[in-house]
Amino acid sequence: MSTFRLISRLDVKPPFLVKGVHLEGVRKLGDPVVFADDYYLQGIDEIYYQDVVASLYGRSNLYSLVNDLSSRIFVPFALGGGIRSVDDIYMALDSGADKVTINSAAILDPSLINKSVHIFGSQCVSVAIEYTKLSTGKWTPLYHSGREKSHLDAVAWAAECSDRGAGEIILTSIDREGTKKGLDLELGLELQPNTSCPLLLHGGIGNAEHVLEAAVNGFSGVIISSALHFRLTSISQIRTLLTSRNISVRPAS
Amino acid sequence: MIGLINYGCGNLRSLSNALTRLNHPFMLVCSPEETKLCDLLILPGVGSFQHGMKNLVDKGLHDSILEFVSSNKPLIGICLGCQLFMDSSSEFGLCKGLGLIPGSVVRLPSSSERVPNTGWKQVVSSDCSTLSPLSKIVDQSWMYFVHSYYCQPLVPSNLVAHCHHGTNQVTAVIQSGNIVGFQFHPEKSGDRGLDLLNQTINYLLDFTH
Repeated sequence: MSTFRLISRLDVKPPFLVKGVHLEGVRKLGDPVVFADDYYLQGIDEIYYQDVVASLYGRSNLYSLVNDLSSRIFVPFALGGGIRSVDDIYMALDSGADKVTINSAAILDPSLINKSVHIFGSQCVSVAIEYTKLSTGKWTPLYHSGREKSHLDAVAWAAECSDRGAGEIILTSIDREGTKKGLDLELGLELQPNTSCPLLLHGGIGNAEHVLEAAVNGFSGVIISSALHFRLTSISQIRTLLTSRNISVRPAS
Repeated sequence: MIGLINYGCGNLRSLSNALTRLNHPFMLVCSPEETKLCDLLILPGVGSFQHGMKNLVDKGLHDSILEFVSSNKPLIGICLGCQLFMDSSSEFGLCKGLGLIPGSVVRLPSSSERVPNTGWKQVVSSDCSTLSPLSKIVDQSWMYFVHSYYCQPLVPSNLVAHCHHGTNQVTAVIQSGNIVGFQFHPEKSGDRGLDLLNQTINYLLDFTH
């Protein structure tokens, strides 16, 4: 049985941990290192770092943070935001990241997925899709932190990413993101038969029950931002609930 | 002195940090000459089998690793490093490995669980491995896996421990004498992973002296 993955996401506008709503506005929450240390002690499975201003500067600014964290936190982490090329991936891995998440760069040049997978392996390359629902009922990805429209269909794009070898796909509902009202499962459920790689859901988790919903619907894991940063729930609480419903999670050490 | 092989395919920083945390002196090994300065080598690995083998050959490290182990010095492989120990892999077409442990590397079936096998899994001793001290150390521990291919050792006693991926049993730890391979990442598996790495290093250094 696959183990459901509990992943924390830290949005960073160096040097601060920040949080927005619907990918907009950045409220400063504090030192990302303090939050990361706390989640590690609580037993988080993985940590995903996102540089929220990378696309403005055309590069990731998190290499030194990742470097520092990799000397004290011995669980996997991913680096996203401003990863545009194979060279950027080399830098991310050299600084201590285990994988990268790519979004905008993949939409602009989908062959980057194939190239990266060929050099680094699928396990290093996650594709992040930040999407919104249109009035037609279809979903479409946005990029550059939600500022640009891709004019793509999210189902077709995700299927293409899976075919190109993405190690996993992270679905962020921009409509739910930061609202704490629960995840959007609709797009993910549509994608399950069209993809072969793990699917992670992100955007809107406000309590442990929201996490359970993703688990019982067959997703590989969730990425949690607000709910942990604002202490609306805890890793221990989530683990207890999932275990009580026979969902396999990594036990507390 | 532990040598961490730098062949352009590993997450060296995580392993360096782990060895620092464990107070094991280490150096990055980039050339055949440097392998001779080490008592134990670690072959890390992230990426494709073909790319890994090509880099080992291009850097002249392929032969020096084989010489190192044939002089009974210990070698630990992690993730891709572990897979490179086998005779061959079918990733991106058939490719020869180091041939240190008989068997091949094949793709995980995606019928009952998604690929790559990503996340924490419980590692259990394999039946034939009860004689290996390593099997007791690793049994029932939770480790972090992220891989699309896995080792299929031909000799049953080389299979020390496994995990499950869907309904399939997947190799987690292999050993042949002074050579140990981990499919998972002990350097990314929290305190238990660091402890396993430490015990394995100490066990192998004692074993081969």
